[in-house]
Amino acid sequence: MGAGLLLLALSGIGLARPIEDASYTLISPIESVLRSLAQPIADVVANYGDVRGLTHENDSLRAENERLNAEIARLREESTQREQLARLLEVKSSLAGQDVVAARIFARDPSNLRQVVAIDVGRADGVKRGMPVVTEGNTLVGTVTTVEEDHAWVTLVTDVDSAVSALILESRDQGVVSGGYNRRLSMEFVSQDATVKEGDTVVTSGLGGTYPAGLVIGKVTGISGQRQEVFRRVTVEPLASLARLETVLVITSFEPSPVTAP
Amino acid sequence: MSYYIGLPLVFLVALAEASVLPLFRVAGLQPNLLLVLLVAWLVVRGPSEAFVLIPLGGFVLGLVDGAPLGAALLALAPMALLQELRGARLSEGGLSLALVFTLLMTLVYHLTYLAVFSVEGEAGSWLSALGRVVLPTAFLNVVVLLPTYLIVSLASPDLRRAAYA
Repeated sequence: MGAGLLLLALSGIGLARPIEDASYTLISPIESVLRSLAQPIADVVANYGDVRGLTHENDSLRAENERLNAEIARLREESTQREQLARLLEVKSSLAGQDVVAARIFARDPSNLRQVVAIDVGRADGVKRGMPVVTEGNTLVGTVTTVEEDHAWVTLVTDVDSAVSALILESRDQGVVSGGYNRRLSMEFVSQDATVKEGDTVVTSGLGGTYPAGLVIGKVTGISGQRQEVFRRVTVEPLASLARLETVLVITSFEPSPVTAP
Repeated sequence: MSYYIGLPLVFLVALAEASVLPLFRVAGLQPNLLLVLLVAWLVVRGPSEAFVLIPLGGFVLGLVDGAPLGAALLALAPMALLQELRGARLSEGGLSLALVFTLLMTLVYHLTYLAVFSVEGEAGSWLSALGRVVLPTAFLNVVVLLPTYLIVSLASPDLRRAAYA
C-alpha cells in the first residue's frame, strides 16, 4: 500500500514519467500482439451468425453512414453558417485544412470507471494535451488528456469527466454534451423552448475554445424533462462506434484556448 | 504451480486486461480478471505466493491503465487484509470464501479508484458509479471467478498431493 501511495505521489508530480515511457517500449508490442490474436475471436463473438461477411459489411456500412452523415452535417453547417454568421463560417471552413495525425488504439482503461483509450502517437508526433480526436469520418471521439513521449491517452466523449459545448444542427439550440457512468451521452442545459426532435444531429459549437466548431458528436435519440423544469434533457447516441474504434485522427493544428472569465 | 507460472501469468493477464478484454465487453463493462485471478490464487494457494503476485500485478496494471501510476497497486493492496479475515477463521470454505473475497475486493478496488479520481477532480457521482459500474462488474467478476478458481485449483496438484499425504 505504501508503494502504491509513493507511486501515486511520484506520478502526481511527474517523476514517474520515465518509468511509464520506458514501460511503453516493452509493453506496447506485447499488447498489440495480444490484441491482434484476440481480435478475430472478438469478431466471432460479436457476429457469430455470418461471421466475416457481416462484420466487414457492417463496418463498411457504418463507416460509410458515418462519413455521409458527417458530410451532410458539414454541408448543412456550412450552409447555415454562411447565411447566419460569416465569422463562424471562417472557423468551419478552416477545419477542412486541419493538420491531423493518424493513430492506432492499442489499449483501453480496464477499470470500467473511465472511458479512456491509449493511442500510439505522443509528444514526438506533435500531440499535445487538449487536442481533439476524431474518426476518419470527422466524428468527435474525445480529447487528448495525457501525453507521453511516444503515446497518449484520449478521454472519450462518453467519459464521466467529459463535457463538450454543443449545438443541435437543425434548430441551433445550444447545450453541453457530457458522458456518464452509463457510457451514454446526454445533452444538458437545453432550453425548454428548444425545437429539438429525435434524429437531429448534434455538433460541437466551438464555444469555450476547447473544440473546433462543426465536429459531429451524434444523433438525438430521446428528449425528456417536464415543462416546469428549467432545461430539457436530451439523450445523444454517438455517431462513431466508440467501443470498437481501432484508428483515430488527432487534430494537431487545433490547440485549445479555453476562454477565461473577464 | 509456482512463481514460474504465476509471475508471467499475472503479467500477461494485466496486459490482457487493457488490450484484450475491452474487445469482449458486455454492455460496456469488463470483468477485473487480474483481481479475480489474484483472489483465486490467494484462496487456493495461500498468501506466500499471492503476496508476491499482488504487488507485481498492481504495478503492471498501473503501467497499462489510464489512471495515475500506483492507483492499481493501491486498489489491489487491501487484498492483503483479506488474509487477516481468513486467519481469523471467519470462514473456511474454498469457493464460497473466494466469492466473498471477490465481492469485497471489487467494491474496495473501485472505491479506491474513485477516491484517486476524486483527488484528481475527475470523479462523477459515486452513487451512480456504484449502481452502474461497481455492482454489475461485481457480478461479472463472480461469473469469471468460477472458471478461474477451477483452473487454479486443477493446476495445483502439488497442494492436492500435500493434502492427501
